[in-house]
Amino acid sequence: MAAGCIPAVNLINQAGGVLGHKLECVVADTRGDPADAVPAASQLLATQSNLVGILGPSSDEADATAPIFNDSKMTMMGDTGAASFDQNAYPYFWRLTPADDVKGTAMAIWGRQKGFSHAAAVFGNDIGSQTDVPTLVKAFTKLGGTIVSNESLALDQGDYRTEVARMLATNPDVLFIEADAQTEATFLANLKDLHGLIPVIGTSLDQAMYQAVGGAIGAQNMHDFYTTIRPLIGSLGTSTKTYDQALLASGSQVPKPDQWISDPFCPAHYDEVNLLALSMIAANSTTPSTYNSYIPQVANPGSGKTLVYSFDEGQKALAAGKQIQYVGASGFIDFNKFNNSTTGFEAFQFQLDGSTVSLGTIPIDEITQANS
Amino acid sequence: MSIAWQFYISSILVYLGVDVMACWGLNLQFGVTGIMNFAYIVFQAAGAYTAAILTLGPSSRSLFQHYIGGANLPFPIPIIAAGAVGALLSLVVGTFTLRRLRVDYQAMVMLIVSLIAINVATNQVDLVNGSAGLSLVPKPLSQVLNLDLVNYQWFYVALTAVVCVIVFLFVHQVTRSPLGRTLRAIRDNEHSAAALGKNVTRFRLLAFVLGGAIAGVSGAILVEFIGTWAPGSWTYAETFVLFTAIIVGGTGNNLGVAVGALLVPVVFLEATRFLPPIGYPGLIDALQWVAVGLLALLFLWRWPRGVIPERRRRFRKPAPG
Repeated sequence: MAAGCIPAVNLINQAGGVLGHKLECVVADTRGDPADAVPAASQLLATQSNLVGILGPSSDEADATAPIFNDSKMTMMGDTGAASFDQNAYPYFWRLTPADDVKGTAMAIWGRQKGFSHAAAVFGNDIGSQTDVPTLVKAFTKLGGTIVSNESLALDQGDYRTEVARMLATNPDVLFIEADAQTEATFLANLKDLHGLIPVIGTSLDQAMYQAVGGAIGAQNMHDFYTTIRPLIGSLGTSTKTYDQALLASGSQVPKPDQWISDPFCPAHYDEVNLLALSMIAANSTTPSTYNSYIPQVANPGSGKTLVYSFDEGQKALAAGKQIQYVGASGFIDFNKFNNSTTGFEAFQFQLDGSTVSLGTIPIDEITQANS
Repeated sequence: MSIAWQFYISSILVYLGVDVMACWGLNLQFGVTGIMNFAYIVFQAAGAYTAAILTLGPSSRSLFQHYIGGANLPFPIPIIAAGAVGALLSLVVGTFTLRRLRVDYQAMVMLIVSLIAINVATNQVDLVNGSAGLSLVPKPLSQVLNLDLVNYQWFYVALTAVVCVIVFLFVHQVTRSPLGRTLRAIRDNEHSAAALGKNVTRFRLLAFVLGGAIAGVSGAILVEFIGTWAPGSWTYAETFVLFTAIIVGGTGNNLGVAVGALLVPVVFLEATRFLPPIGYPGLIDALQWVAVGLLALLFLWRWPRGVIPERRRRFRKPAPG
């Protein structure tokens, strides 16, 4: 999160800040479970007098803390994929990152488009992974496929031969997988040893995944068998380049900033800070209860709006009296009535050098239809 | 006082009440009877899940969470049911573990029970919605009272205090009664107690069930307050925080245990939230477990009877003849 927040704040402060105020990123540890997060959230609100917005809450504790922030009229940019927010009713909760259950549907669509009909679903037993499963199963079945095996993996075990053998007994022609890098690497290495690889559809593009899985099954196999489904990035003008430059320039504040270049969530956090800042300027107020309703005004498409690709461009356009649409480093933003923004998904293939190439896109309309 | 501070302090007071109740239940098992229940958090979790499921309504109504059962019962039935489930689960676990095993082996088995329980809850997704847990649990009486956020918080503090008083009166009655004397006799020398005709296993099981019921109620009070419950909330390490609170406060002493619940889970752990961030995010969180362990060791070494030691009971000699 810091790899998105700090570059954004640096650029905003270089451009003069927000209504004369300098911004700062402050870390608040919610300790990752609902019971600990409630006092953490209320302590944050009580002790940070100049709090103007929140990046988070995240998956583990969002259901417990989002009501607290909402009741306190504090704008939050949720970092949770939890399906409980798909029809979010909290006006102060916004989500740029796609819901995990939407991702499950996107995986199912891609699998069916490639002609697979008998799929194994192998997901880690963590919250983020498990929320993909119901919609993956539902959509894959609805599209005419069959989920022949559904395994929940205890993370970071040294061996998954039992689970692999159980899965192979069902003769799947494709494997849907999501877990942490080490778990996926071990599972796929066991699969390679016991049977040989089958096509794999995963969800991670980051270098940790490439190094772990590529190291376990070989870069050539990673290239040949492994496809990743990620939120659509598309053509973004200068936003991505601006973010990448700002990230690399913040090396004194963000350890090893280059490791976050291909992470899809960091640009989203960068965009979230820019959105907060631009909506404050549009509302002429840093008070969340005032600027909160301006967020879709500076983000969503609309006729006559000026496209802006950075905070600086945005504030200049607003100063000139123009209506703006901020196009982020994470993609186009279009909040629906539930304050969720999802613009589709994209399939990627790892190359031998660890870079990725796009294989195609899955439009949001198609996902919505399959999810209905 | 600002609304944010009122919200924070009222939240802490509810947590204090929950911890005090949980410590009294564990004290009944460990402090009074000598049962090393390293699975105590499981019984609190069972109560929390029960209350959540009996408040949420049928699982079929939810688009994103799946669980067994499900009903929409009015307050306070879910809390009472949570206590009953805590007691029932204790009866099942206790029947198997307290019958033949020595105390140290019982401790090992309890730890294993704790690990098994969290793995089952996490991996058997349809049981209590797996690792995502249960969420959006309605707050009790919120529709009836129609209070604003802060006033509801204070209402819940009062509700927690009332339940605390009830639990205290119960544990106080148990510990000062002949039953309490029997339990202490079993703790101090089970062979002597058995020689006096006491059925050691049956009394241990009784204390275990009563403690489990209190754990269930404490879990219910917590989940109805925070509105969500997931495996991340009840890892086995949480039990050791309660043990440390009892050791620090004064094993076997209900008042001391309440002081321990104030000092360890609330003051000691909450204070770390005010430390400036150091190292990578999560370092302070990780170090707090180390600090809790060191605190327990320090007290066991230097002040084994805790801040408020258990009162040594004196009995009049029987009159001659």
